[in-house]
Amino acid sequence: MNRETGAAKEGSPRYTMRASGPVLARLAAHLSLADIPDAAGARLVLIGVETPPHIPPSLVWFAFENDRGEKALIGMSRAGGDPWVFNGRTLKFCFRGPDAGHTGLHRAALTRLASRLDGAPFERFTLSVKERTGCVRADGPAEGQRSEDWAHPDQWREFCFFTVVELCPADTFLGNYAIENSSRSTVRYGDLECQSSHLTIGNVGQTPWAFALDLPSYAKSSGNMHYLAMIEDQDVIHGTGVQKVEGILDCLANGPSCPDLEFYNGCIPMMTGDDVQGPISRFKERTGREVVFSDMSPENCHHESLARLITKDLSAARTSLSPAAKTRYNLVGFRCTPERDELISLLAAAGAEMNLAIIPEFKIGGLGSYGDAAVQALVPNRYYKDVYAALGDRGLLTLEDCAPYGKAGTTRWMRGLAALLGDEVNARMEVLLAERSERFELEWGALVARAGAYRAGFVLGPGDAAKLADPTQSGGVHAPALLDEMGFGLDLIEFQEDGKPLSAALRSLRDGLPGSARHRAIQFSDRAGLLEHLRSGRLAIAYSNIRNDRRLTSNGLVGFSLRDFKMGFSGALQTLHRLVERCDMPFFRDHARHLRSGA
Amino acid sequence: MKPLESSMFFNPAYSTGVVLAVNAVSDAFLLLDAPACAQWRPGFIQGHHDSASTLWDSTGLHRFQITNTNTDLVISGNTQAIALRLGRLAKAPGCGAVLAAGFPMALISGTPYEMIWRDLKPVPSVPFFPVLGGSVSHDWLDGYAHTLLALAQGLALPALDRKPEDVAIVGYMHDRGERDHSANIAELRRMLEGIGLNLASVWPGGGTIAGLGTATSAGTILSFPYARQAATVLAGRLGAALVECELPLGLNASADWIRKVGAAVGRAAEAESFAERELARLTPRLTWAVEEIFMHSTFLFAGDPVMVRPLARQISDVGGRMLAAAAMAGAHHAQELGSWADLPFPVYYAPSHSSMLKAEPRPDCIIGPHASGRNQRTVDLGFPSYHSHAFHERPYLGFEGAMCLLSRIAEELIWSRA
Repeated sequence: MNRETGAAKEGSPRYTMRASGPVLARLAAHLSLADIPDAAGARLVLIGVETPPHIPPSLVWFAFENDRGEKALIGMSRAGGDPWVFNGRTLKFCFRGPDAGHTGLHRAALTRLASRLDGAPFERFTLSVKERTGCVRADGPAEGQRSEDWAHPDQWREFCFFTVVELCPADTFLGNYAIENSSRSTVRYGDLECQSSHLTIGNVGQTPWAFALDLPSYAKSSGNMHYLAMIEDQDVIHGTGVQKVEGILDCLANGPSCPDLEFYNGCIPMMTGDDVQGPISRFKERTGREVVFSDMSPENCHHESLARLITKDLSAARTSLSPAAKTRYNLVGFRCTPERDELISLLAAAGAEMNLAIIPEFKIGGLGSYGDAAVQALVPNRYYKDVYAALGDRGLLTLEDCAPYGKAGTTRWMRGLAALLGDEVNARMEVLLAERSERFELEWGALVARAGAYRAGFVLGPGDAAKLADPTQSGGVHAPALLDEMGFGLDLIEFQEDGKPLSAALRSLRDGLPGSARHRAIQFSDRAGLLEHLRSGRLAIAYSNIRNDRRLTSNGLVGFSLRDFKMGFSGALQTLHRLVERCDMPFFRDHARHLRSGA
Repeated sequence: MKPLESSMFFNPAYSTGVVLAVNAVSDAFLLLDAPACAQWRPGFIQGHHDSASTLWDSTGLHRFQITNTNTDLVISGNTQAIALRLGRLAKAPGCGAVLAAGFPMALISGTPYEMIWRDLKPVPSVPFFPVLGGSVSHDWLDGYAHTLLALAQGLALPALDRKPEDVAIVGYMHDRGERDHSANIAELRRMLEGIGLNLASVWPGGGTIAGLGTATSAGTILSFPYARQAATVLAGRLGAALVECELPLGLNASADWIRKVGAAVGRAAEAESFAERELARLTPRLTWAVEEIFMHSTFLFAGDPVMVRPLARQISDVGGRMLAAAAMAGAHHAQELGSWADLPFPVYYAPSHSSMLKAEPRPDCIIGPHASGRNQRTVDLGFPSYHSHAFHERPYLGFEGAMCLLSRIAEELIWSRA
C-alpha cells in the first residue's frame, strides 16, 4: 500500500491506506467487473483501508469507475460488522459514500465482490494485502458508517429488488434449508431468543430466497425434531448449561434411531465460554452420526455453507453404470409443491423416473444415489450457484437455463429434459404434450383474452431491469415474460435522474418480449412522477415484493409478487387465473381514496 | 433414561414482549440491540397476528431496527453503531419516542444506552426510554412489563389538573391494533362511565406517546396484570390511588372488577347497581345456550397465563369444564400469578411444543393460540391469534366482551358436534 491521506473529496470515503498498483490489478482481474452488463467498461480504481487508531483494520473499500465517469464505492467488513447489505459467510458488503443512492454499477460491483471474495476471512484478506504492499498508515478520520437496513433513501421507489430483504443473510444459508426440511434433528444451545430466530420475513415481504423454500403446508413431514438446551440465569452463574446439552445428546444417542444433528451454539454460551465441543465429540464418537456445527461467531453467524456440505456428500456418491439410470433424473431447487408433483407425474407417464429431488429439502448423507441418474435439472437461482458448481462436476447431463414456469416455459422445460433422457422418453413426451395442449389451450385462451384488457406495472430502480430479465435473480421466474405470454400489457416504469434516458437494459427487456408492441417503457425521476403513474388508472396490478404494500393499495392497485407464480401447466393456469381475478377485483380501485387517508 | 421430546418451549422471547409493547404505541420507535437473527421479529406480529401493525413500513421508515451486533462487537463495544441508529430513529418523521432494548447477550455486557443517548449530537427532540430489564430467563411477559415500566419511569408528564373521577388503566395487554382491542377499551370505558368515572388513559392503548400523558389527570390508577410495577411507579409519580385489578374476562369477573373499582373510589353502590343491571340484561340471553351448548362441554386452554383463571371461571359458570391449561410463560411468573393448586385442572408452565397438552383428554374445544396440530375446533384468544382477526368491534373483556367470547365459543362447540 502507498501512503495516502484520508482527505478525500466530499462524498468519498476517508481512508488511511490504499493498495498498490499490482494488488489493484490482481484484484481487478479476479473481479472481471467489465463482464457484467451494468458495469460495462468498469474498472477497479482504488482499494482503501479504513483503520481507526489502535485497532485492526475495520473496513476495506473499493472504488469502481466506468467509461461514463460514474463511480461506485463498496465497503467490505468482516461478517458481523456493520454496515452490511450482502451478508456472506465471512464478509459483509455495503454501498459506501453519500446517501444519494446507488446505481447499477454499485449493484454490479457489490454482486461481483460478494461472489468472488466471500469465503475469505477478513483478517487474512487485509493482512495479505498489507504484507504484499508494505503499507504505511496515514491519519484521517473515518467516515460515518451507513446501514442499509433502515430507511434506505431509495426505498420509496424500490418494489422489485428490495435491498434489505433481498440481500439479507440467505446465500446458501444452511439454516434456511436443512433446519426445516431435513430428517436431521436440530439442537440449539442458547436462551429463549434463540428459539424465536425463525425467518418470519414472509409475513412482511417476499424474497427470491424465501420464494425458493418449501411451503410449510406442503413440505413433507420429515419428523425432524428441534431441541433447545435453554440456558437460564443460574446456568450462566454456575456454568451448568453444558449439562443440558449433555442431557439432550445422551437421550438422542440412547434413543431408538439416533439422528444426525445440526448444532447451533448461541450467543450467550459463546460469551460465557461454555465448552460444547466436548459433548459433541463424545456424541460423534459414540454414535458415528454426523454433527454439523455452527455458532454465532462473527465469522460464522450460523452461515454453514450448503454447497460445502453437498460437495462433501457428493464425494461419497457412487456413479451408476446401470442402463436404467439413462431415464432417471434429479431435480435440484424445485420446492416441494403440488405443481412439482404434476411435473414428476407427467415425466413418469413419458417413462422417466425421478431419482432424487434435493434443495430446499436436503438430507445429509442422502446423496449417495445422486449418480444413479443420467440427467439433472437445476432451477435457475443465484443463491444456489455454489451448489450448482459442485453438481456440475458430476458429469450428469444438465438442464439449467430454464424453469417450468408459464405455458411456453413449462413446455420448453419438459422438452428439454425429455430430450436429455433419450429418444424414447422424448417421443412419448411429445405425445403427452400434444394431448395436454388441447385441453389446456381452451382454458388458457379464455384467460389470456381477459388479461388483454389489463396492464401490469413493474417499478424499477437502476439496474433492476437487467435483474428482472435474469431468472436466476428470481428463483427461475422471468416475471415480465410470463405476463407477456399471459396477454397483459406491461408498463415498465424506470427511475432515471432528470434528463437521463431509459436504460439500455430496460429497452432490451421490453423489446425482447414477443408482445413488445403492447408494452410501454416509462420513466420517472421523483416521487410525484411515480405517483402520477401509479394513480393514472392505466394499471390494474403492480409487482411488489413487499406484502400489503400500501404504496400500491392506497393508489388503487393490487400487488403481485414472486409468490403468485406456480410451476407447471396447472400452475401456469392457476397463476394466470389469480392475476386476472386480481385485476377484476374492484376493492382497491373503488376505495383508494378511502385507503389513502389511512396510508 | 426417559424418552426425549422436542424441547422448543411454548413461551415467546423477551424481545417479542418488547416489540408488542412498542407496537401498541403508534409513534414509538425501537432499537433492538441484537444480532441479525432478530431482523424479522416484527414478522411475529405484523402480517400474522396484527393486521393493523405499523412496525414495518414499505417506505422504509420502520418502527423497528436492530443493531446487527455479535459477540465480538458486544465485547469490544458497539457504541458508535448504537449512537448512529438512535440518532437516526430520533430524526425519523413521525417519531414520538425512541426505545432501546437488547438481547440478553447485549444486556449482560451492560451497554450504556442512556449514556449513548445523552451524548447524541444534535440533541434529539424526542424522549428516550431504555428498557433495562431482561435476564437470560425472562420471557415475553417480562419484556412487555419492562417496556411499560420504562415508560412509567421516564415519560415527562404534562401538568394537568387531577380529577377524582378520572382513572387510567396501566398494564393493559394491547397486543394488536385490531378492533378487538378498541372494542375492549370502549367496553371498559362504558363500564367505568356506568359508575361515573372517566377513562382518561390506557397504557398502552394504541395511541401516541404523548397520549399516554393524559394519565396525569387520573385520580386513580387501575393496575392491570401485565405491568404491575409500571402502574405502581406511575401512581407514585402522580400521587394517585392505586387499585390492583384482575382481568375482567367473563361475566362474573367483569362484575367483580367494576365492584372492586367502585369500592376503591367510593362508588360501591353505583358499581353494585351497575353490575346487577348488566348481569340482568345479559344472562337471560344465555339461558338456552347454557343448557344446550355449554353444559358438560370440555376445554383446553393454551396461551396467556393471565387468562387461565378468569377463563376457567367463565367456562365453569356456564357448565363447562377446563381439562388442562398450558401457560405461555416461564415458571418464574408463579410469583405474580400465584399458585394454581386451587384449580381443578393441571396448569403447565411453558411446556414443550411437542408434548403440549397431548396427554390430556380430547376436549370439545381448544381456547387460545397454537392448537398445536390438533385437528379440533379452536377459538383464538390473546397473543398470538394467528387464525383469527377482528375487523369489527369484537371485545373479549368486560360484559359485552364476555358475551362476544361466549358467542365465539358456542359457535365452535356447535360445529364440534356436527
